[in-house]
Amino acid sequence: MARAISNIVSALIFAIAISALISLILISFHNLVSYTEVLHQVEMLEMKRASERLRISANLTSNTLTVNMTNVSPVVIDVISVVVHDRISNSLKLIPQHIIIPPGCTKSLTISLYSINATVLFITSRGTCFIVVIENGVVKY
Amino acid sequence: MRAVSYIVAALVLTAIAIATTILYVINFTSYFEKSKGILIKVFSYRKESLLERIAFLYYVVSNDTTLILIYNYGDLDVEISDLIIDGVSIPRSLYIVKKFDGSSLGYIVPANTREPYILEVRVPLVGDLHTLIIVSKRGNSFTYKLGA
Repeated sequence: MARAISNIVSALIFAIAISALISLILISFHNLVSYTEVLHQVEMLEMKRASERLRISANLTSNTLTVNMTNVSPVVIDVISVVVHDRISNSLKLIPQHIIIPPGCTKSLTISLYSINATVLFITSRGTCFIVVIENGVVKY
Repeated sequence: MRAVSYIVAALVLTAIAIATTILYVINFTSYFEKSKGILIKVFSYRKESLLERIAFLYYVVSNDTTLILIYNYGDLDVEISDLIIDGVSIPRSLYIVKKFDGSSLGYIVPANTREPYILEVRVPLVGDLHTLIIVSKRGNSFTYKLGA
């Protein structure tokens, strides 16, 4: 009888230990998979960010800056903001945007500019910044 | 009499075995829960750490203040725990994250807002080239060369 009880207890303890071990392994595996997914997601983001390329041509006429942005990269670019640094007053101005440029496409943008010396930043959703410099009313890149 | 002692012995043994099993199960369960918690915490900490992303966009120097344009392109808000310029840790009272309208965000750079923010550093920068490091609360560091 005692032997039978001890056998049952041992089997019970063994079963608990094994199930706990398997659970821990499964939890580890699940977390590892989810971690790898995040790693992959971040790597993809950085890869896309690194490949963002915009060809910008700009023209300044009577306080209006007309900008043509051509996406020469293989990824869709989303311009989220334009920041104008007026280098005369040393002030920064944010102009929110939502310009989605598919690969190979060109989008135009007009900005009112009241300074002949300014730096215009085009910021993408992936944190890339494209710059147009205006010096004495002349557009430089 | 001998038969009774067999029964008693078996009962005592059973009681001891059951008590030991209960103790073992309770201890094991709490140990298991603790291990599971640590494991999940380690992985989630690593994941959160990976999702922190800061881009330095531009900077403007005016008098004793440097305005650094930063953008959080990650999925999580970044809390700045330390700012190091040229190897020197800057006191927290000398820098702050601001929106373009001038409102303060403290030390948080929000994510998913489609908006860049200004890191205002009230430290005079002498010379042309400076190295700026933002250390986040999750332990990431983002380096930017000012003037490069």
